[in-house]
Amino acid sequence: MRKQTGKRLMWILWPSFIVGGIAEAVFFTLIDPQELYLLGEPVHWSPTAVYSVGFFMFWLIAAASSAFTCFLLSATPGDDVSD
Amino acid sequence: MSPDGRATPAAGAEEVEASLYEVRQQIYPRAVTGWFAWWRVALVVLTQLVFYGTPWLTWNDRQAVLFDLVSRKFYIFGMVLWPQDFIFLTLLLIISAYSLFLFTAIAGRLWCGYACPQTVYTEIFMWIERRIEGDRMQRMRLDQGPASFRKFGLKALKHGTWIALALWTGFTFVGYFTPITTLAASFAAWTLGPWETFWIFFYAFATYGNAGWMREQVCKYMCPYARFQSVRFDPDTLVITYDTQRGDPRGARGRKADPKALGLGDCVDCNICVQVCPTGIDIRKGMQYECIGCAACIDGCNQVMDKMGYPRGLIRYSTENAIAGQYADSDFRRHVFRPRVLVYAALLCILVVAFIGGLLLRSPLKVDVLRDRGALMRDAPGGQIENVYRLQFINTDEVARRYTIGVEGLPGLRVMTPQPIEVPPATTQAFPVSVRVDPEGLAPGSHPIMFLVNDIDRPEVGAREKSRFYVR
Repeated sequence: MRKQTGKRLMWILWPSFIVGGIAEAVFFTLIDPQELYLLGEPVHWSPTAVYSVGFFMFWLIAAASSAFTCFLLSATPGDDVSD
Repeated sequence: MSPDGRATPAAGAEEVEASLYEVRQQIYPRAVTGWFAWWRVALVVLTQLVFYGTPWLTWNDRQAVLFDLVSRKFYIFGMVLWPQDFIFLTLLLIISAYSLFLFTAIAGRLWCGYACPQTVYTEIFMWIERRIEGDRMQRMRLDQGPASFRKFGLKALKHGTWIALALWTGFTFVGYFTPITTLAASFAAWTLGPWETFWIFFYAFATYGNAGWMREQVCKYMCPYARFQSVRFDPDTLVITYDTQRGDPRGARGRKADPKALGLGDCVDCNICVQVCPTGIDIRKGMQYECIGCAACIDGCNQVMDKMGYPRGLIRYSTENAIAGQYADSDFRRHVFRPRVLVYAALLCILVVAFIGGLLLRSPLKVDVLRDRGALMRDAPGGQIENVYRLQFINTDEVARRYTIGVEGLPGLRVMTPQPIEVPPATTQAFPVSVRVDPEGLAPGSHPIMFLVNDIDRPEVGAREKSRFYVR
């Protein structure tokens, strides 16, 4: 398990980085950050902050999905995909 | 291990696959000169002049290329792209993908070998490494040697230079999104915003990590293109190949020895092709997915062939069919125009025409009509009925424009707002517009109407927008 950590991190973080980037581009092309609401209040952050935080949110969500996939792959008995 | 039992820097693919990060063998590529190395350097210089230089260019008193996220406008020389122009970005990406497919079908991984940022920055970082630590043997000796003041000094200098270059790269990257002169000024005054600072360091870290440490591993394990390249290849694709028939059996021999008498092929088994390879493979084993098509092995081998007095091209760009003897290398051109290439080329042409046509025909004026939310209608003097609208104008030109607003759809319908209205350069602005009609003879309820907006100075520019007019 320990041996796989580097590879797993790469499998989780790298594809999600790409997907996060695409999601960021599509989302913020369609939606102006000034029009967003956070917990019922208009967002008062600078646009740069909204874009940056938005990117990391997308990355995090995609990484969670990648991590789940990774877990299912390694937890499948008799399956050597992750070996 | 290679078939001849000789240890090579890269072990078998399966072995490397399992050993990522843990027992990865450090690759010490040897410097190489030659025709392809010259091209690679030329492209490194060209792409980096474009990357580092572009943000400093000005156009119409502003940064020529600026992706201004804050005001949601992309400035590209004479063009201003708005979020509504997203389709062009999508088209551009599709065009890039098809270009990649086309080039790959014709001549393999040209992109990887000469233009991919991963290759380009690795090349620059390796050049710095060579200048500081020396070539392959000196670097290996330095790394294997004991810790010393000299070793520490050289390593510190190398990493310091790498980090400085990486920071400059990060700064340039952020300069595409924040005006770079302002950025430079706030950098000098030490007043960079937190996010600018963060992204400079983030990008610098990625550059330093990828080009300094990860190198060929990015191509091997992270790049999706390397995985699907084999479906983009066919037997007529130009790839870097070792001519087995000519080269084998391999073996060392004196310069004056007659290989035929010794029962040897042209390969002197000097391993230069392996030593110069940035991904550490042995091209003599045939096509491998790790090969990024940089042609360093061709340059290396040609130098050896020259020294031995043998003809060049033991390792060369050739096609599977040509190597198999189906046609001469020089006949490659006649095999370029095959269905796959023609289909890619045709699609590419259509997309490029659509892209350029779309950009040229893009209207510099966009209008949106919203009905006033306050009141459906109101009475105006003289028994007339008034409806109020909000017209939002997007002037995508970089000069102020004046527009007239007309309306049609009902007899006697008139725009009451003073005209013309002026919209500043590259701006979105909304105006309240009131429209009146004499309701005599009109059925109560909603009537479709049409707003007509025209540019005073350019009659060919205009917009038509539908709306509704309510009568009591």
